[in-house]
Formats: sequence, C-alpha cells, structure tokens
Amino acid sequence: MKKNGWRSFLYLGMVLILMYLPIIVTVLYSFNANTSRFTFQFTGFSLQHYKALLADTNGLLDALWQSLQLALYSCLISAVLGTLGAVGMARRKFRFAGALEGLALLPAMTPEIIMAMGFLAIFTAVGLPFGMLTLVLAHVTFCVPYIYIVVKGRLAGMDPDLPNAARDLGASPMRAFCSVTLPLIFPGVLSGTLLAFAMSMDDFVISFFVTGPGTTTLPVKIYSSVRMGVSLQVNALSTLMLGTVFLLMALFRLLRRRRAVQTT
Amino acid sequence: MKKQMRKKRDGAFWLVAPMAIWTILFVLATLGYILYLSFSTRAENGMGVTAQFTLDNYLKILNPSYLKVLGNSLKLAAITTIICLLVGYPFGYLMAKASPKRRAVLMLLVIVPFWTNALVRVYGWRILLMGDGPVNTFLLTLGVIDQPLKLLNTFGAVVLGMVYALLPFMILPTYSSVEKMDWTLVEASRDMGSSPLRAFVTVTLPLTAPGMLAGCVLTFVPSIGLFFMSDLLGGSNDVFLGNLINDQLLKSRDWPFAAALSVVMMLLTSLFLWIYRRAGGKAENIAAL
Amino acid sequence: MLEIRNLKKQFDHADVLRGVSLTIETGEFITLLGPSGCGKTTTLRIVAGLTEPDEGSVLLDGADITHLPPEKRDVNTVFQSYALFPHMNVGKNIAYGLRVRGVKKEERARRVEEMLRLVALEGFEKRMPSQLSGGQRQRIAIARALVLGPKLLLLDEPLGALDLKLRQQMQRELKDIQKRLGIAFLYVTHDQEEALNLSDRIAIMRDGLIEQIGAPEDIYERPTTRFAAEFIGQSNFLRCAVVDVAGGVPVLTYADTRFPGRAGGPELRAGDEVEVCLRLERVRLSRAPAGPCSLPGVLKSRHYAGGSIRETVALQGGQEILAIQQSSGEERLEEGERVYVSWNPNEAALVR
Repeated sequence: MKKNGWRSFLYLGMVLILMYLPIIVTVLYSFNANTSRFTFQFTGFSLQHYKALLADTNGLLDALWQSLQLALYSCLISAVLGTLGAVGMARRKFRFAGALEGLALLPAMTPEIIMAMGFLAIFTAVGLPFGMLTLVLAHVTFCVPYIYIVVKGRLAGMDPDLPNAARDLGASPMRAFCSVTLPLIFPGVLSGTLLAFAMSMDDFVISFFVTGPGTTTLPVKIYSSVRMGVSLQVNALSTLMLGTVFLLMALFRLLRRRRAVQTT
Repeated sequence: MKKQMRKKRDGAFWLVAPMAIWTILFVLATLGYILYLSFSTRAENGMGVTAQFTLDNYLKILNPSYLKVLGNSLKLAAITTIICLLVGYPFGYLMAKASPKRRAVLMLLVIVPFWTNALVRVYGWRILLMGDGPVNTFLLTLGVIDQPLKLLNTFGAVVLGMVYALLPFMILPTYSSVEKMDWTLVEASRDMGSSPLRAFVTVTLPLTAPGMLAGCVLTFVPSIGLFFMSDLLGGSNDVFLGNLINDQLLKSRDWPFAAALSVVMMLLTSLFLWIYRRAGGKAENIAAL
Repeated sequence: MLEIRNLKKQFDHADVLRGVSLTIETGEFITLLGPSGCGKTTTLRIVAGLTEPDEGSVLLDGADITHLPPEKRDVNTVFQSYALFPHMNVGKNIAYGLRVRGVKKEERARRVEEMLRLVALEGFEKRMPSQLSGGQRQRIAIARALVLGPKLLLLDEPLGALDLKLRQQMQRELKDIQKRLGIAFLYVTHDQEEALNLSDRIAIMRDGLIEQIGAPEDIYERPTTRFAAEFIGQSNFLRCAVVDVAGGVPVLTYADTRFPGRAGGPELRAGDEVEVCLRLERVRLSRAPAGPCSLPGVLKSRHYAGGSIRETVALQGGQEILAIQQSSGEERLEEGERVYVSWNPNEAALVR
C-alpha cells in the first residue's frame, strides 16, 4: 500500500462496486412507486411494496416461513449426522473410511442439477410424496458434507488423547464425549450448522425439483415471481432480509467486543 | 467376537453409522439410480421408464443439436472461469497484500453479497440490464448511445451473471494461497536480480498456482450446472447443459435422456476434479468453500 | 500387583507387540525403555485400557482386566501431551475424576488442594491450562492422575516436551512423589539417562519384545545383548572368536592375541563368535601391556574435553577403539604413538 496504493485501491473498489451494484439496485427499487409489471422506470418513493409484502398478497412471506422451517430441520439433522460421523471417523480407522468420506462429500462437489435430477427420479421411483419431507431429505444430504468438513477440521486440531484422558479418569464414553469432546468441537459444529442453514435457505436448484404442491421455498417462489415479470415485493423482502442479517451481524460483533473487554 | 467387543468399546461404529446409512441411501443410491436410468428405455406412453437396457440415450447426445448444447456449456464454463481468474486473482492478491485491518474489511465485503439470495442478485442484474433499466438510462443521458442497447437476454448477460455469482469462489482460494506464501522467496528472487515482474512470474505465480487451480475448479464445476442463470439473463438461443436437463426432466419428461446427460456432465466434472487432484489439490479444500 | 502376560498386537498387519510379559510390584518404579516404534507406548496403552491386545492378558491384583474399559480400571495415566482439558481451569481438571465419581463438592475442593500442595502449585485452581508453563502443566497432569489414588500410575514420556534443565528437576520431583505415595509407576521413555536415574527396574524393549529387564546397574554392567548394551551407555564392540572354554571362562582371540572373557555370559563353545562390550570409560590406555586383556594399537587422535580426554586407538586388527579417560591421568600419550588398550575382563560383558 505504498506508491501503488491508489491503483490497487481503485481496482478493489471497482470490483466491489460491481459486486454491490445489483444489491443496491434491488434495495433502491424496493421503494419504487411504479407498479407496472413490465417497466422499470423509477417513478418515485413509496412503501407500497412493503405494505403488499406484509399483507402477503404474493405468498412471499409464506414461502419465507417454509424456507426457514426447511433450513432449521435440515441444518439440525445434518449437524447431528455430520458431527457424529466426523467424531466416529476420527476415533478409528475404518476399512472403507476413504470411500465413505469421498461419497459423503460428493454432493458438495457435484453440480447441483445432477443431485436434483437424482432426487427427483429416486423419490418418484420410491413413491414419496413431494413436499417438506422430500425437501428435508435432499437438503440434509447436501448439508452433511459442510458440517462434516468443519467438524473434522476442528477435531484435527484437537489432541486425540483428551477424550482418552476423560475415560482414564473414570468417565463413560458418553460422559467423555459430552464433557470434553463436544465443548471443544462446539465452535466448529456451530459454524458448520450456520453454514448449512445458509446453504439450505439459499438453495434453489435442488428445491426446485423436489418441492411439491403446497410447499414453496423462498428461492423457488422468487424464481417464479421473477420469471413472471417485475415483482418489487421481492425487492422489499430482500431488503428486509439483508437488513436483518446486518442487524444480527452488528449485534454479534457488539457481544463479542463486550466479551473481549470482560475477559481482559 | 473380538471385533464386536471392539465396536462396543469405542462406539465409533455407531457414531459413523447414521451418516454412512444416509450417504448410502441418498448419495450412492441416487447417483446409482441415475446411472441405471441412463441405460433404461423410456416407456411407450412417454411417462415412465422400463428396465430395457439400451445405449440410445447416449447415442442421442451425439445428435448435432445436443452436441452444440454441450459445446456451448463448455464454452460458457471456460469463458466464465477465465474471466473469474483474470478478475479474481488480482483481487485476491491485492487483498492478501493489504494491511490486516483492511483485509478483514475486504473479506467481509466479499462475503456480504452471499447473504442475499443468489436469485435476488441475478434479479438485480436483470433490473440493471433491462431496456429501460439504469444502465441504458445512464448511457442515454450521457449521450454515449442514442437508443437503448439490448443487454438483457444475451450470451454476454449470462456470462456476466455467472462471473458475478462465482467470482468469490475464485477470490477466496487465491487470497488464501497468496496470504500463506513465503514472501522471503520473492525477496530472495529480487535479491538475485530479478525484476518485480520476473519475480512475480517465476516465484509468486507457481507458488500460488494451487489456489488458482482450486479457484478454477470451484468456478468451472458449478458453471456447467447453473441453469437458472440463462433462464433469467439469457435469450432463447442460450441453451446449456443445465437447461437441457431441466427441460428433459420437467417438460419432455424424457428421464433416461436427462440421466444420460447427467452422467456425461458428471464425467466432465470428475475429469476436472481428477486433473485437480493430479496437480496435488485436496478434495476437502474444494468442498470446504 | 500388575501382571502382563504375553501381549501381542498388530496394527495394519505389522507386529507391534510380539509377546510382552512383565510383572510390577507394589511401589515399584519400572521403566519401559526403547527406541520409537518398539511397542513401549502400545504396552502402556493396553494397561490403561485405551488399546485392546490381540492376545495376552493384563491382571491387576490377580483380576483379569484385559477387556475392561479404561474407566473401570484402578489405573491412571499421565499423557505425553498432558491432555489437560483446555476448557476447564486447573481446579476443574484435577477434580474431573472426582466429579465423575460423584464426590461431594467440599471433599473435591479438599482433595484438589491436597494434590496442588503435592505438586507445589498451591493457589493455581483458577488458572487455565493455556496460562501455565510446560513444567506447570506437567505437574497438573500428574496431580489430576493421582487424585483418584490409583494403584498404578502410567506415564507416557511425561518429560519429553520439557527442556533439559526442567527435565532434570522434574525427574527429582517425580521420584520424590513416587516414594512419598508409595504407588507403582510404569514409565515410558526413550531417554536412557531418565531411565537410569528414576527406575527400580528397566525393561529394554525392541521390536515388540522385552530384550532385557533388570535393575539399572544390572543392565549397565551385565547387558545380555548388543542392543541392550548399545542403548544404555556408550561402548566399543570388539568382535572376537572363541578358541576354548576352560572351566566356564572363555578364551577369546582378536588379531592373534589371546585373552580371557568374562565368565557367566552367554553359552559359548569353541569356534563361536562373540562381541566384547567395552564401555568407553572402562578402557585404559598405556605404553605397556596391563593385565591379561591388552591389545596393541596406535593412538590416532586425542581430544581434550575439560574433565576428560577422548582418545581413539586403531588396533592392530584394524578396529578403532574409543576411550574416555580422566584428564588427571598419569602418562600423557602422543598421537601416533604405539599404545596398549586394556580392560578388566570382569567389566566387559560378552554379547551376541
């Protein structure tokens, strides 16, 4: 950042502006007074889209609620599966450990549409009714790898003798896990779960194929609204969600700073 | 007997079992079923599948119009990856060289767009690129053009959307490889009389190649399958592998053909992962992002 | 008190233990000494219950505990990494075993305090492990393992991570604690000096077997194998042929010189080959032959090293012999001079 400072600053700034342009536009247009489905002229400031959104005339809030439920179920189930799996794999060398791990991580490395097609086909073949159940099954499958990897990384940084020491001092395997292993890997479990939650909330391709009548996740709803034309309620909802995330983020930072102050 | 005792002893078997069962049921079975479908025959009524073995689905891909789609997809993926590399590498590099405080801010700025739904961001571009959208309005007011450009529903718009969605996947791995680099090697090279450019090409570039490679895989692989990008930003001619599978699944309902397309796509993907692994990359680094 | 019978263990089709047997008496300090990969840590972990043997058994006070999980054994361990729980403070670390056993709070506090006094770290209850030095962590690990009053304490290279000075101090403290509590210690190390200083008995391990077991002096003075002799102390090995065995005393020959070997060594017959283990500090150099075991040679080098002198002699048979002598020695030998290498046959073990 010496003599070339302004040049690199310019470059980083330009890329960032391009990154934020669509988001800024989305937020700005959420206040557009124009209600036409087909033009985008910014005709004046208005909160009408927020009103319509809260009245849920397009079913966006309902879709958001469905998405939140789906993300919650998926991240919790995958957190349990992925965490236990990572802990078990770290404990002993299994015969097919490599193959199982590769297979478990596959959903994270396969183009989504392939997994989506597979889920659609196999759920149809088995005769599962499409809806929340199929969505949860599919989402858990692609969330497990993220939790597994994060927890595995956390475990790799942990002394493998710690749970042994607990056992040595008289703790049952369960007690050793709960009082030693779990508290130590918990930050990993938590961040993996949050990541899984976000992935589930954000997923469109797989949900699009395994959703059923009566269940519409937010991304699927947004997709259909956007294809139909202009729907500034989508902008309004996105703005609100972005605001919520920023608020949570600020709160989190504040809490952390306060805790940092307390400990020092 | 002895084996059973050991299982009871550390419980590892029962810890891994749920994940293993889940993986076998939903990953192995799902992918296996796709493979099975791809060799099956479409039923007479066009709605179901019969277990008649056939290679027709694969032969069908050789039809010129489908081959063109395949070529298009690879072209799109390649262009996306190259642009991401050209834009993302310098970004990651400069980010890694910034002061720690700025680095944290930049990192946050790169990640924040992820907090909004990918579709919403694409939708933002749709608004921007519309005939009467901000970009055209801006250019018209400046007098650069005298009538609105057709920006939306073009190949260019699809590339823009792809690059936009996948750029962070290039920035983050290149950033971390530059950040981890041992700068004394560059100093050593400069010390021995290399010009800054030469030092960059002979030292920095090879040392950060793993990050670049991971970034390329991370942008190339998903770009083959993001069908909604061309749906929302592309024109009617911009049909890619992802769209084709989507159409075959939901409109023509020719599942065996869609399965065959998926298998081809999977092979393409594995080829790239294989190249990546041969070059010394770790699968986990990819999945971790 | 503890009896280990014929332990065998394979990892990934490689033999790690090939039949280890050992008995430990109450209050005994016994050390498993050997290079890395010799199976000493595996033996310790089998006794702790962290690894299950393929064959063999472990008996504690006569009861078979081979298949008992670690939490059911009256044995505690000090891990190589100490394995202090990083999310608990020192007091909670030490109290962990008591807590698991449901010991009441006041009693726990009393015992923790008692243990901290034992390891001379009173007042450290509230510290976190990350705030302790290596030596302090080591002591907390010992206190945590001792709080339950085990019959046997297992220590896996507990001093390996400490620097030399601290290691020597901790050696004294460990020995002191062991004597005071009167419980048996099973100690694993690859450091011969540690083993010699601390142990009542040393078991030298090699490739999954115990090569030799005995008191430190026993092993130093009477190694039975070349491996044992090499592992403890510094020695020259002189390969000789056996010409005769007269009344239990073997007669050896090296480069046409005959000399007697120590009696009571391995079973020998005329025509056998055997190695004479010459400890560096037990070799004497002189201008004239001294005693029955004297071999001629030429002094090749001479290095003054403070309290001692290191000399190298090339024997007439070709082999080089290294000797360490006190520097206050009588005659000063010059490099290139013809000298005799001699030793007391009773101080030179015969090994194969």
